[in-house]
Amino acid sequence: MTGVWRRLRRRPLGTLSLAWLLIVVLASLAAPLLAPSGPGTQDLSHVFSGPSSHHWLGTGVLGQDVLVRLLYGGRVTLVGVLVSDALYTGLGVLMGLAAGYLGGFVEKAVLRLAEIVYSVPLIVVLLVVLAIFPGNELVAMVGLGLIGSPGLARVVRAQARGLRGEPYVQAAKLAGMGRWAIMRRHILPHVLGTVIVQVSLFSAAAVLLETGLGFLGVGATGATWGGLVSEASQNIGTQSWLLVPSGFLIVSFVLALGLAGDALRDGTTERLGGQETPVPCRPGRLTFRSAPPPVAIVGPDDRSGALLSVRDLTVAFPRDGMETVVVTEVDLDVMPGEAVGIVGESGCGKTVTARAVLGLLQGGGRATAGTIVFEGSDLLQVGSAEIRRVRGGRIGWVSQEPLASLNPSFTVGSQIVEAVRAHRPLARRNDQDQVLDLLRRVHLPRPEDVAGLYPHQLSGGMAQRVAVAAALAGDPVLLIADEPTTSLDVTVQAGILDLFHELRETGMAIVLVTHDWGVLADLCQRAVVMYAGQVVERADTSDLLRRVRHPYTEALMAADPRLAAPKTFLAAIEGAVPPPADWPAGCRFQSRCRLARPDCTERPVPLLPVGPEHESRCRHVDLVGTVGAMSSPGGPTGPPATPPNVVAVGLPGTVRR
Amino acid sequence: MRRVLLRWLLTSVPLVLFVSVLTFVLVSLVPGDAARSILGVETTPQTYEALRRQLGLNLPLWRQYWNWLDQVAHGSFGISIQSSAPVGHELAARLPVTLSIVGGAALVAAVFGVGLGLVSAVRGGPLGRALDVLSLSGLAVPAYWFGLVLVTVFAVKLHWFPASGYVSFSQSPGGWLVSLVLPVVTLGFGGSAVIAKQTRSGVLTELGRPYVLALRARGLSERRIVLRHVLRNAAAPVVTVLGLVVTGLIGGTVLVETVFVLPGLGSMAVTATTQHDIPVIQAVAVVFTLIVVGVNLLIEIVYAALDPKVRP
Amino acid sequence: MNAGPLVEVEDLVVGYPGARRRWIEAVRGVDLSIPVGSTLGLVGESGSGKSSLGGAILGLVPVAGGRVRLAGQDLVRARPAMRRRLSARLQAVFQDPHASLDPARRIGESVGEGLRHALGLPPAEVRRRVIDVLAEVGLPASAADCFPADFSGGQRQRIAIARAIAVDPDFVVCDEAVSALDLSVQAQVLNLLLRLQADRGLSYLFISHDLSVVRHMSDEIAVMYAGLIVERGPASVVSASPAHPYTRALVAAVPVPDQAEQGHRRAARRAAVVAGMDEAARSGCPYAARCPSVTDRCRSERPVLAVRRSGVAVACHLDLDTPAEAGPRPAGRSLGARP
Repeated sequence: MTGVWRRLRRRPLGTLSLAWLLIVVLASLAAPLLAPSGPGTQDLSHVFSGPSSHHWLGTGVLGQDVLVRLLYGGRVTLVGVLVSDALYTGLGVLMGLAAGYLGGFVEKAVLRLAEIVYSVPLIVVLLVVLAIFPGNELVAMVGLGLIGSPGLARVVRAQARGLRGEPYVQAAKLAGMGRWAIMRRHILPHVLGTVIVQVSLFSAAAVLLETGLGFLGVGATGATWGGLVSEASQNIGTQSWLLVPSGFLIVSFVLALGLAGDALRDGTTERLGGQETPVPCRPGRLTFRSAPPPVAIVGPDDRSGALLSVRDLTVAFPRDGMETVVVTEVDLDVMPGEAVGIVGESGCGKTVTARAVLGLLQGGGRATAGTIVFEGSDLLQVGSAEIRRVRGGRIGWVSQEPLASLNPSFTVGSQIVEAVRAHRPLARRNDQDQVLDLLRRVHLPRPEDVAGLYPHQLSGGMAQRVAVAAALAGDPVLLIADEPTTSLDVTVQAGILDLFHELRETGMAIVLVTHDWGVLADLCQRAVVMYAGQVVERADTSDLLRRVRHPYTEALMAADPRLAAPKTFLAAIEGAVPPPADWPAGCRFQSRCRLARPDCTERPVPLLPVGPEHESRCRHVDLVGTVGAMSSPGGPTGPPATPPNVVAVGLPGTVRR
Repeated sequence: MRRVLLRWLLTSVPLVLFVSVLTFVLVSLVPGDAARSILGVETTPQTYEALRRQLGLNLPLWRQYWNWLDQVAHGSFGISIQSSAPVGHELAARLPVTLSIVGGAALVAAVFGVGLGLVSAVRGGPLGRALDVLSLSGLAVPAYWFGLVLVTVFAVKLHWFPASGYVSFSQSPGGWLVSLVLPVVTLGFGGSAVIAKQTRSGVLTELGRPYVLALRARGLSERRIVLRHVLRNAAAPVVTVLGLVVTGLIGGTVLVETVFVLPGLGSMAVTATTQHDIPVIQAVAVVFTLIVVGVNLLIEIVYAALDPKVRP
Repeated sequence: MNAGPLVEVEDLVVGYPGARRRWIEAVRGVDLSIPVGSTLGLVGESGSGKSSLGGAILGLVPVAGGRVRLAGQDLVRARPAMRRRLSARLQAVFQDPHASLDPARRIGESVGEGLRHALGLPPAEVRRRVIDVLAEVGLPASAADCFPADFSGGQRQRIAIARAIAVDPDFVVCDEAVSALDLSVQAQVLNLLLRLQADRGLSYLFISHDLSVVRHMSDEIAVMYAGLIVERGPASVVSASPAHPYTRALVAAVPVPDQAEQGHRRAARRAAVVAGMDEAARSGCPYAARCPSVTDRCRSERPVLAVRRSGVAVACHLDLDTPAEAGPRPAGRSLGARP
């Protein structure tokens, strides 16, 4: 409970709202104590007076005190709202849980009911009720709760249904838990936040409806909030003050209900984590810093003639109000027609580096230093029109999620046409031919048919070919592919890799982000290994795979089951890639490195040449690859290791380290 | 299209039945009956029985309901207890008023809601926060009270618009328009807040999706991405919400017509309620429901046109 | 090692109602058996029905036909009470480490769930065993009082494993248990699974789309395609000299981390892998549409699993006993195909 209070304190608006609700409720309850004379007491010497010391909020047509009437009116409104809330919540949650978790007929019935009830003009039904039971507002509020409850049921069902398939619910079933136990322990707590919000919104609507009935004069008789507004309306030309206290109370009370609901929801779900609204990417914030420190474009190891030359690229993202650096001083060269792989685990900065080249950082990320020279101009300096020309026109981009990277509402053809037109505005006439050419180029069978399909009609492999076709629309010279085959089946991956080979043979350069050593070996001549935001090793792929010169690369290869004997322990490095906030001062791999020495912790390690076209960020390169590196099993005990002459998957004689 | 119609019928028929049965059953719960209300207390049992038979009140409830349905199907809604006039005539006279207000308010809600929601989502910052406040207040301010504030400011103080009354379109198109401004703004305000909220959250969700990144990577302009791709995908839920909003607007006419003293169906319902004129309130409830059913059909069609998975 | 089968699956059919009232069969008559203490690897592409098969064995997916036996007892027709008792012997580790634990429950509660509900142990005993089992997967006792949000993906997967072994099961279904993990963390979890198997004599059904991981973990491999097993045999044989054309494509498509070697394999895979837009045939061989060696017979008659000379069962009409690249076959730790 104290935790809840602490969280509420961090939301002043929500806490204020809760306090205001409490004040109004308590004051209404205490109305007979605060104003024992009752709301009907007339003071004919002060008819229609404004606020005064006698009547703080003024008086009405017969001199009745407005404040007293508000206090007593609150009792009517609150009882009505409470009654309808109770029915709404009880029935709604019950029906929703049953529908969502049990499914079947119950689910269908609840959904249909909700759909019907959503279309009923509520106030009209309430008027019918009141026409039959004149002045009996309680019956009307009971009706409101009943009619509203299927709406809550629908929302609860949607959530419960989503939770039904969660692995932890499956695991609970395997643990022998019964239906009701699972609903109570694993479903209800997660639905609670939604229920709180829905109930607060419904209460707000109920207050508005109840006061509306009071305003119309068909609800409860006597002092009501709505009745005060009605009295104001009958004297609208002369007594506009009367609108103020009643209106303020109703508006503030309803507002407080909404805000308090949000605050309570946040308060109860906060500890679950992951419920925060994601930081949306706003186009207005996709900006580059305009003035990075001057950096010599031609470095000592610059491979002249590079198509893309990244130097000292540093990228930072805002996190908790601070700029957190996630990529540090990355250098990357891509020659025309060359395929370069960026390898590493998630959280190492591969994707951020790739996206930074095109200025596609999301969530407020930006390049804080360095240069990205492409075809002679620094992409970090050029204007937005120029970067748009480069995107798609000179550099194509393919993402990890082929289906999600297509807009579900447009056909394949129209999305490719759009990309074509973005870069060849004059070629309108033969748009369609170009689309078909592009689809043929990525080897989609029956391109005429495929052009007319919507994304949901494509398989993952087809979608990725379409995405490649769209990326080729502007005839780029460089393709950046971010894990393009990770979500695909291995046989489909083979086809996409073949397609990339073909593109490369026609002279296109490729930057491939991957975590798969096999994919790297398949496509890339050169490889860059990243760890914790830095390049730790860079070499020709074949050289890298045969002569590892960095302990991280070595460890990552040792973890690959393709290079190990079956049913033996893999030489796993313990721990995980540290988050940017935890990067140490010296070598960033030190905490997981088997070679770590005291000098690794002191100062940053530079990337040093260790062989022809081979660089490594390690002070103890000489120890890499020595005995002890690969043979140490990861666990304390293990089944007897089979002799290390086991072949890797597939063909006999596959190399083993 | 057939699937759309089928879907619509699946909701609409039960909806109309639901509302009519509900009102009918409720009416049957009233102590005493229409014959008693018409004749008053001082009458002979014979005349009372005769009138009961004449009105069909001696039949079992389901037969009474059937007769009533049959009547409605032939366009007759019975006789008002208070005015003794056929209810149908009055309904016909009042329908255009209500439709004008609801149509206008729906338009205001849709245009302002989508516009504000879009701008605040794309621009963010202070504008977004301002819009949050606006949409919250749109939800919290009761329409009848807001209407009175508008009357005080624009009618009583500034004399820009009439405080009340309705001018029919055939009488004077200009007068019609002017007489509608305040009611339509009053009613549309709350609706536009709801729609703005949905538009904003929908656009923000869409902007975060991978295809937006892919479109940027293809070199498309931000304007095109937002207006063609993002808005299009955010539209479907907005249309759904619009349907719910219009249902709310139809109910809201009850209050707004009372505030502005307009001769529409809503004020008719209120009068009927205060006078316990049961045939009238029954009829109004059914007509309101039919309007909702019509709106739902429009919404279903638009929705189907937006979703490639529904399209054949 | 006890040679008797722990889990037997006979002619299992799993189906569910699809869109437009079509009945979709995810598993179309599958036979499997898993001996005590061994691992059966189940490999196949997405949509091949491997997860449905796992779910059916666990009782999480309704079974349309066939039998699942655990130590001779039929699970499909077991009464709920019986089923609940058996469930303690049958556990699972799922793919998504972020969804496999209820974010609203402390680790101790999640891990102790089975101890409380399936075994009905008193709270103190539950607590003691939870701490033991957390230690077994390499986590401190204090973890029991934390929430899932406090752990990384790899740690959560360790916790999910702890939950599975807490009730001391005989058999664990690992459904894509390492697919969402990075290479170094994947290696840690694979090692943990191997160690637990050695320590506790567990049997695994190891389901994955990744042939190299399956090969690493399994004694026997079953290859699934379109709801059917197309090849089943000792892991070393199936992965080194695959017989069924689909298995060959699968093996050929896996890229290996050696450039020269991969260059050769790339040339070979072009022949073996036919990218399919396949509607799996209702009759005939499900792979007919993508098979490079398809014949007329394949399109009309469905091949049944038959044990070949190599000891591998293959469902194919082709004469596969004399494949070009067969070569000498390592005996491996073969457990033999089911009779």
